Amino acid sequence: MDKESTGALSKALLPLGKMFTKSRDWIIARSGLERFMEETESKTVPKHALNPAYCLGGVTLVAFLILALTGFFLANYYEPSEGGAQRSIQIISTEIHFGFYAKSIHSWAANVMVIAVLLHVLRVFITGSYKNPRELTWMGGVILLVFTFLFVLTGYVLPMDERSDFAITSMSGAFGWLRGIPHVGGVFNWASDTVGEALTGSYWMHVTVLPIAIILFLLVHFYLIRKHGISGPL
Amino acid sequence: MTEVEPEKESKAESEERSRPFLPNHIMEEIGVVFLITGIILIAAALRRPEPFGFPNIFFVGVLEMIDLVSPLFGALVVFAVVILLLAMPFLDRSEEQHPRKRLIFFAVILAVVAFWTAFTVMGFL
Repeated sequence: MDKESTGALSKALLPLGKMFTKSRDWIIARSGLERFMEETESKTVPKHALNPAYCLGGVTLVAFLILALTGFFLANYYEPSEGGAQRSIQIISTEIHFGFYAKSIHSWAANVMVIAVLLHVLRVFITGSYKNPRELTWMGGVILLVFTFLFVLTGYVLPMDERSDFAITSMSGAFGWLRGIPHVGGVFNWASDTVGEALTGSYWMHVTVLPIAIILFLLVHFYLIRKHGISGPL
Repeated sequence: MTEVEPEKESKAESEERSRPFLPNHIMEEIGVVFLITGIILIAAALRRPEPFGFPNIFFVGVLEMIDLVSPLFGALVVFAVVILLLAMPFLDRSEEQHPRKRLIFFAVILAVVAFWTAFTVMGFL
């Protein structure tokens, strides 16, 4: 591209740039985010944190966001009943536009999330990043790890295939006793050994309880990371 | 109650923190986001809806332990590992970060990983 056309392009884009800056300033002024933006713009990141091992938390987040997007799509067509689950999965895979891809991406992203979160925990442990003052960040992270595994297990129940039997056996074997707790035992229906109860309980956990819980804990996790920064190098 | 001890940072260390969060670091993070998204999309495009097939590798170890001992024992072990992880900052209170200087804790976690791996392998046999 010659100088003349570059100049013309810059001139054409200038109003767009000005509009963007004006809009940004307008939002910042009205939302009271001036201080937040100033702090963010002056914030620096330690050089050792550029190592890919320090990006694993970010990879986990991206996988979670992909899961949320594909999950919204799949939930629109999924039918959480003993007779309807397998049929709706079949419809998603064969009749709905992009259904096969959404289901496939959901499955891949779930595996990426588990692997990334395990490696992230291992990295934090190896670098001793859980020490004072980051104890709460670590504890919140461990709870997020537990939520991730519960997410995967409850997700296995939903397609009502061979893997669902595996998940129902695992969950009822390990957590079925929780259903015996007086008054609140029903909350643990996802750990039932009855297929119908396990399916509705798992669906409820997978699309309502766990997403809300994971988002709340993620917000606290990010706040604490922002507050204490990234730990020092080894 | 333990006081929160903010990390002391020397001037040299402070200068090391020279990479601005905005836009440099965040742009790199966006790069990683696209890379991961791309990998997932390509993987899905290859039409392999189940990445590792059945049974899933992450839970085989726990299920094997439940099969070999008892469901309650399996649940107690999982619960104990979670409690151990939650309590780690209060058990490992030294200021040392390097694994070589935290050998006991490192050995405990390695043992947990080794047991998990062993049960997973047994589950596949």
